[in-house]
Amino acid sequence: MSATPQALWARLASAGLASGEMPPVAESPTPWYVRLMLCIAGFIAALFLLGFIGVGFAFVMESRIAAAAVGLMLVVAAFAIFRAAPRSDFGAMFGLAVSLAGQGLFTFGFLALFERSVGSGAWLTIALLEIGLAIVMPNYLHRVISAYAAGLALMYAFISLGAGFLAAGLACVVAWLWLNEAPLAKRQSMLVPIAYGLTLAFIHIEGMPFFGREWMAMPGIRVVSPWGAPWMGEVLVAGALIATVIVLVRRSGWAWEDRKAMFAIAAAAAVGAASLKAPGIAGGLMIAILGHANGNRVLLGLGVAGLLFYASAYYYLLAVTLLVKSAVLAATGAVLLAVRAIVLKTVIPEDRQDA
Amino acid sequence: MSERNLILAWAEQGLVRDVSAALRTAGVLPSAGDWRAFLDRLLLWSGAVALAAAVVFFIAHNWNDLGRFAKFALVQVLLVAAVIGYWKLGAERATGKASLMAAAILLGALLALFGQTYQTGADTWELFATWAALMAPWVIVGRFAALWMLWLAIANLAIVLYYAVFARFFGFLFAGEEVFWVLFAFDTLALLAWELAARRIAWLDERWAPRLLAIAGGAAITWLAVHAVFEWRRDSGAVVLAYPVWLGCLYYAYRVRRRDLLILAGACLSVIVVVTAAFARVLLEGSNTAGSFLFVALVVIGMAAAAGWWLKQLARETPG
Repeated sequence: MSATPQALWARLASAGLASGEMPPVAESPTPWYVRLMLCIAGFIAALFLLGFIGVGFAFVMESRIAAAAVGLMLVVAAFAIFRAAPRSDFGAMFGLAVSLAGQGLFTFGFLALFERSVGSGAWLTIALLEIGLAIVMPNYLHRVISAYAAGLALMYAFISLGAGFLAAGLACVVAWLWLNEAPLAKRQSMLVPIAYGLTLAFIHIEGMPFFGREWMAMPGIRVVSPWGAPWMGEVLVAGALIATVIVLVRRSGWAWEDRKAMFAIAAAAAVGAASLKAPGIAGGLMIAILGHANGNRVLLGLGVAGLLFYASAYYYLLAVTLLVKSAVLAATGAVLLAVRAIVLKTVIPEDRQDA
Repeated sequence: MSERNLILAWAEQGLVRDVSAALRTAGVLPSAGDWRAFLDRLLLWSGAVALAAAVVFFIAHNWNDLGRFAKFALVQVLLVAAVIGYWKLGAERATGKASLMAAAILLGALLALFGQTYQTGADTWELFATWAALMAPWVIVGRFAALWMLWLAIANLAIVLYYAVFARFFGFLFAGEEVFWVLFAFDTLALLAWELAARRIAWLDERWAPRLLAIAGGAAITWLAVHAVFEWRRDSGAVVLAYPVWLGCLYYAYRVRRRDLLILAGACLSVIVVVTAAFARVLLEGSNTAGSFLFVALVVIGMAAAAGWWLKQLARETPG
């Protein structure tokens, strides 16, 4: 997999894609599992920081406005810590824990202001704050967490509007970000973590139908007579999957009228249709396909993990009987195997290696 | 650093003209052949698992309109078809392996149907234990990592269910601890066997499987260590010896002998959790002073930063 940076630079230079001296190689990105470890530790530390504030400054917890205000101040302090010590491991970890504690405190105080009727406006405010943090905070892990939180807050905003299915539209944003990774490479240190955070939020949202309505109605969420059903969300996801396949088909230079292009798009539509009754199939497959298309094994793994999660959680989906689920799974399995046969025979037959 | 990350880093500095072309030149983006192999595997496995799960769900529904003979016939015909599929498609091809995997899942459905029809009075753990036992020959013949992992998962489930039943009758003093000891011992021995076997057997050399085993065993002993911290009066205390030995073995196996940063990161997290639990118990029990909370938070931050620094150093030394 890895040629030396010098060899790679030479190859790019000879293809006319780069010129001049090779720049010094930047620091390797931190592996995802180290980031996951730091993320969990950050949340543990944030809980103890909240305990510190709760015991030492009890008046902050007692007043909703004070809690929200102190929370915001902590977030600003975290920004200052990130800025003051950009290369320090301790500083990054400290800033992350302070910011998480601040966000927790702010959300607690801010939502409490609305008493029992937390509406879409409140959730939208939190979503906007998190989007802002994802853009501004100069820390990879913070960007992932903030983008994830923004996705979930947006979902709760849609649920309070009675249109929870719109949250699945996040699939379109996720697909767009990953498909445009190369053109957006100039901003990759900001956009890649945001894309990961939104992908995680999307996987979470796709898993929501499995936990029934009680779980969706978090304490304090006012569910206005819901219109729209979960399958409408799946239509959005299916649309994102089809759009992804269309972009990839165009990218490989296949003409519209080409039979294999039509087969590829029809296959995506068939998988999307199967997903209407078995939520998650289209979403998981879309993420796996995006991961493969970008040569990104972590993203591919996320998609496969999502698929495994949905398949096992499907058993507990409350809305339909096991008999119906069994029929849906049998049909889905048949569709997937049929699509495979079409792909192997018609879309990318063995002898064609040129696309 | 991988070629993909190198190119993206150079692109961010504005040093690469056409990023897509550069990624293609470096061979990071998949070719038509890569796409074919990828879609082949992805669709084969998701399709096979969906079909086998459909049969399991069907049996679980216990549909009264369909007679017991019809149900047995259905599951047995599918089971035989899957086995014939494995035999005809070939043991070395992915389609053959998928058939064997489906047959293994269908075997579980058949056993569940048997228990459901004849009301044998057996406990759930016996279903999983019998399933694991009957499946074992196929697993050995199959020469296939994912099938071994399915077998290990079923065995883990049988252990958990066994203790869930017997904890109610006796051993309520130790049951909470004992099941975690058995899970820890089982998964750690499986990990050891896997790593030793993978040196000679090429098809076992897939990192995801031993990593999952290490995480399963590590989660069990971390739970035991935290249990010892908070319930030390009722705890056997064996973990005081076992935990450092386990950490030492992991360090030797995955730092000295070979590199596996994921397992080392998991071990770091385990240490952070256990040390935090110990500090929290000593400092916060009885006297909830604000300073103690702040101190524990700083300890967690310090440990995590140190662990992150160490793992990043190791990542820099490790190629790929």
